[in-house]
Amino acid sequence: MVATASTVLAAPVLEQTYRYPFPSAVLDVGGRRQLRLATSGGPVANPQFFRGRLLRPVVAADLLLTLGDVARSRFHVPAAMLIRILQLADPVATCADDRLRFEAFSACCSVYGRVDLLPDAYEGETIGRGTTNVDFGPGLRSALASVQDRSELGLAVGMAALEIQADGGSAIERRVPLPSRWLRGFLEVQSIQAELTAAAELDSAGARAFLRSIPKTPSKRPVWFAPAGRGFRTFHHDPGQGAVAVAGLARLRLFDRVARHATSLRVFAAAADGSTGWQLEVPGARLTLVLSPEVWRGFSGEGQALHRLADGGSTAGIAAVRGALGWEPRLDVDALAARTGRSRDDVSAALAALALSGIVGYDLADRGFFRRELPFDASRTERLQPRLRDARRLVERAAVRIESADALGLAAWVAGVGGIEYRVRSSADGWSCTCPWYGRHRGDRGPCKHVLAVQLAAIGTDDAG
Amino acid sequence: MTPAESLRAAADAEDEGAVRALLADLSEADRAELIPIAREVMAAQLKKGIGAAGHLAPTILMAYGTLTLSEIRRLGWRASHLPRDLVDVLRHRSPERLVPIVDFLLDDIGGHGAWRVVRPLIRDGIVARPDRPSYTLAMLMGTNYTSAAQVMAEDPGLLEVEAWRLFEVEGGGDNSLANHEKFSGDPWGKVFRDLAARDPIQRERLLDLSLAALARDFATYRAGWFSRFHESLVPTDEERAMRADAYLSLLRSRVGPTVSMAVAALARIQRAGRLSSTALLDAIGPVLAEGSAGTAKTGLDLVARAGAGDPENGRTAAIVAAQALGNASADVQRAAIGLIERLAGEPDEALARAVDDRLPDVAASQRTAAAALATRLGGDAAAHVAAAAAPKGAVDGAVPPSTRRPSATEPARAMEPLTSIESLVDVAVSVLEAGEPADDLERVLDAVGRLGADRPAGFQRLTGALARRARTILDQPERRAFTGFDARADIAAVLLAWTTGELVERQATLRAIDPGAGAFLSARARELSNAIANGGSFVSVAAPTHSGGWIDPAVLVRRLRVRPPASTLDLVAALLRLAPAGRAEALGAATGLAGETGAAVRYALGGDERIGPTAAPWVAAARVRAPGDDDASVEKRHPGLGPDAGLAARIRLSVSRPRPSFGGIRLDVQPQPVDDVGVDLPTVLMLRDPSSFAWTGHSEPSMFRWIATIQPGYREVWAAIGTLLIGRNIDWWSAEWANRVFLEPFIDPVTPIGPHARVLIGVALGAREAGERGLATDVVGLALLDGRLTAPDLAEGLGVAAAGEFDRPNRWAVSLAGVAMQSDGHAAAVAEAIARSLPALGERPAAKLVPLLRLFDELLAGTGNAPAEDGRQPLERLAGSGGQAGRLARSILSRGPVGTVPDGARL
Repeated sequence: MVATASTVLAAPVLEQTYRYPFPSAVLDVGGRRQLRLATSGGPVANPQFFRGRLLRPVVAADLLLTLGDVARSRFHVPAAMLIRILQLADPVATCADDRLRFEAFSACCSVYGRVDLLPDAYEGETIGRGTTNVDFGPGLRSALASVQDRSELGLAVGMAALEIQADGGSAIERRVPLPSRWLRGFLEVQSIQAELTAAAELDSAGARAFLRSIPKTPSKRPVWFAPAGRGFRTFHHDPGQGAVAVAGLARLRLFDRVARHATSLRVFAAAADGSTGWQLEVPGARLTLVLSPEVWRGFSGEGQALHRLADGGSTAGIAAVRGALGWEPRLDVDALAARTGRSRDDVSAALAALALSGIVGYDLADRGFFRRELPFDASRTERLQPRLRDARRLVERAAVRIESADALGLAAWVAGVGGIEYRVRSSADGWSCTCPWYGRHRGDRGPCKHVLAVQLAAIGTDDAG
Repeated sequence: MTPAESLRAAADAEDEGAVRALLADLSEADRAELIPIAREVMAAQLKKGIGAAGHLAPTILMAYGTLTLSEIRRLGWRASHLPRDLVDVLRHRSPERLVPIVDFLLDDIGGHGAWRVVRPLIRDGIVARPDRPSYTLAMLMGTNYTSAAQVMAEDPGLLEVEAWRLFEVEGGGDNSLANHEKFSGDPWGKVFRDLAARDPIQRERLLDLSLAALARDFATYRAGWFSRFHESLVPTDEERAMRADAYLSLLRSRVGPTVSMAVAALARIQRAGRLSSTALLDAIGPVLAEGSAGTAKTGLDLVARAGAGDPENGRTAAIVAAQALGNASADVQRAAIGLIERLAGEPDEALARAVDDRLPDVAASQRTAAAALATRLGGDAAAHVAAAAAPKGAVDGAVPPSTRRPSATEPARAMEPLTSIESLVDVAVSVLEAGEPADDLERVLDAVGRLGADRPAGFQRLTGALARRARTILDQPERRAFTGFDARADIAAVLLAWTTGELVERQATLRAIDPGAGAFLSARARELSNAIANGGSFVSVAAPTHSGGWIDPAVLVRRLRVRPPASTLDLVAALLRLAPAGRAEALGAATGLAGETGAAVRYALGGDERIGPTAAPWVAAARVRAPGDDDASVEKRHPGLGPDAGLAARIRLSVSRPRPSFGGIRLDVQPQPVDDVGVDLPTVLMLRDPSSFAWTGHSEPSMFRWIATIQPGYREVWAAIGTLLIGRNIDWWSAEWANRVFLEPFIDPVTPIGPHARVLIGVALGAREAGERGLATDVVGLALLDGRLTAPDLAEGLGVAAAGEFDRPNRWAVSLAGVAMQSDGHAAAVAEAIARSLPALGERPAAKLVPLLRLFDELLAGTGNAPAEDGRQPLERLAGSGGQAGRLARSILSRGPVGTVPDGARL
């Protein structure tokens, strides 16, 4: 009997158990090569989602290998973490109406990667829709590296139980300790993508030249890119004028394997946050990498979504939107609003909350969320948000006193320990606080717990009013 | 005695042997009774801390022998002190308890100790063989102290599974097969080679496994051992031919040496007539497009042979060869063009399209030939002509040419003073955390001084958090307030004085370490702190009016009309910050300013005054009135104060020969620095320690940046110090991350670039540290555009750098290519600068110049220019030599002149 995948929350580590009925591999099936991806978890224990063939085997293999590189990457290794992070989290696969998506998150929590295989990349039968983990062991990597275009390559995401029995492959069970910051980052990066806007686009030659120009050992400090002609001009200081800042440039070398297939490269950036999105188009597919502002700053610490979590949509609203989700490639806010009878804003807030629960992901190309129910137990998202948890405690302790609130903003005091009080203000420029955390980051890593507490208290006051 | 009593007695006696003997044969049920004692002993050990490290063995045996894994984990670092006989107390533990302990030993403890415990349990069948990489890595570390051959001889069962897993597990950090073999003399390699020599079947297996390991996509460093090992087996052509598919599949590897090895192997197979041309042509593309120049050229040779003899194969080979037009090397592109010419017959649509697709990637030097080829093949001739004419990498006006240099006092640079305590606190919380930016630091100092006497209701409530944070920072042992090294501590001390009235004393530092001009800034902060501690105010006239530390002269005069400077230091700070624009008007307005202060200000603004008795303001006035020039009047009235007092500092870079890998340079400064320099003479303080500038190794970057605002209008001394620091560490012998700060001011278009700055740029363009090199590249790009730098200026900087042996032509080529790609004008300027700097490089080995010559050739091809006259002589000398340098020199000399700089090539 094959048991389901399970996640046990034991802060600060979640132990994820992958149970695959067979190892993923490239096999000869009736004289044809077939890429078989073993699945674990999701709607059923080992779902079967797709059977067909890849139309550009080498491109698909290079994309999947790159995704494996993302999962294996550790651009910043916290002390004494090496042995643990050698045990890697497997990528997540989602089968939707007209595309196959594969997602991975780096061990250092600073790179999120997604491969979207579009209808031009494959043909075949979608057997089921949903999200699952796929086995991505060393054997599969080796097999993918040997894929050639001259031979046809079938693709199966999951197998029927009877076929598994007939093949007699041995099952695999792996327990992987996932740090809670890893899962938190995987969730938060979806909201961060929603804040990114298009900054530049390069054609195929420009993309290749740019990716090739990244040194093998680039500067660890931030560099800035500004579109110039067919490529990018690189700066080692901030030239302003909307240049895109990237620290830990070595992370972009993850594109090395697929750069030669590039037809374009699109770059996305956010004004307030230093995160960037990089989307490489290849024939029939695209590869998205989202980089955190620094290699040592995983997405889990960014906290950009905390304002939304604190605002919270109503539980009923979130449940209603979740119930109305389909497997279309892009979730249409207007359609969901019509389907649930809720406002557009409510639906948007609910989607943001669902992103933080692992129910939806965000696609920069489509500028919208898509359904993808992570096969992890992310139901206790808030427990994964220590800042929000601390803010709620401040409110419960009645540590927040709102001094004034009007259309222009509000001013409040939040009591800290030792009789110290922090001044929190909001205005058209945003929030501010007199605590050291705010002093260090000035909001570029999301709000501090004092700001969140004031936000929560203000909502409570509104509700009471 | 009961087992419990025996165990307690053994624990009390710290008798490791007794503990082991007692636990060894007990069942899990019997052990349960001993748990309370084990917990008690463990708790006592935890209490003792590190002091108990030498007596841990009995406790460790008890913990591993009786407790659960979660309790063992509580031992922390102690859990890794594994006694030699630990395995004895584990053998009879229940599988439910033992398996997690084994996993823990492998995953969390690892190494030789874990191997020594775990391996017997597996060998004896007590625990199933773990399928985890940490088991293999533990075995590897088990051979750190015992040779692999001996381990294998003592435990031959390892050859069943464990030894082969070394070909499957990558490892990481220090713990990998590649690393182990590198530092241990290749012991596993010897074991496997011996095995291959003894047993042909095992030889076959090792040949296969080493190729399979290379297909696993390990990191370059860790993959290297497997390709070296594979080749060390010296495969025969027959053995290689049997593995042709494996070699072909390695052509997509990201690891350069793996690809090179595979290409070389395929070449041998092809020469033996055993390689399928179809299979080769299907797989070789990535090598041609992405491979290193040597490997890609070998790849082209393979393609050429695959395409020979059969027209259809030849056509396919030509199409495949077109991928090499996308290779970064112009040499590879040239070889590809030649090969396609040879293979292609008549016009061919598919081949023409393949060439067309890669034309945008083709280097300028090959573009004409590539376009001609495409045209001959029947491609889009118009597009080829356009592609051939378009300078490669041209910037389409992304950086519009600047028509005028901005002023330091432009409205866009104006700084808003902080006018309320709330706004002051808002900025101060951030400055307190970083000690910068200097603009905000000055705003905070200014506002604290102005608002120091204000104590509105709620003052303590609003500033309480700030006060506590300042105190916390000052309590940190590494903080050194008011020493001239630590801007963050200085601002913390000022804020503490403001919010609480508490005064912080100047903290002690080594007398031998001179803080340079940082002492002046700290002294300013300290006098402010003293003034406001009792609720007083300290209204400064030195607050910058514009970003970068500048003060609008008119504003300074207005301030002085209202009030005198807060102190001599305040006046000195204000004078040194005077912007050049508007001085004449300000001088007129300053007529009524009274006393020595008024006279010094007028003198600074260019007026004629009799030099007064207080040295500091007159020295500052002299330095800002005519930077870099002697002031005879001030020197006469205040003689012998040192360089950049009355007399301007004259600085010469002095280089020891031969130069060591670090250092070997100093600044010769005239007049000679003096020992006793007043803290109110910051320009003199900058040069007090010219041999080493020890302050640069002790100050934080925030202090560097603050120092950079002392005299924003004159950067020559600053640049000379930067040259010394970056130059002596040009090959990154020491991780001096802060040195790049010396380049930062030159990004600002209002900062002039004088002779020392040009040398700094020339040196930094060759720095190994990518950040320093990149910033220098930025400066050159911007300064060429805004007119602060010309091609001869750049050549001068490169030439002086070469004279001091700071030339690094390979890094210069990378940096200057980054400049050149910004516009055709930049490209032309860089080409001219290279030509002009070549005479200074005349003595260098020709091979060292190849990267620079390659860039030079491409730039001339792209701009259509001939080499500047200054470079002809060295080029003609090089042209007579062989090798790449000779070929490139001949190519360069053959370029142009095709006219003047093209229209699009203006800056």
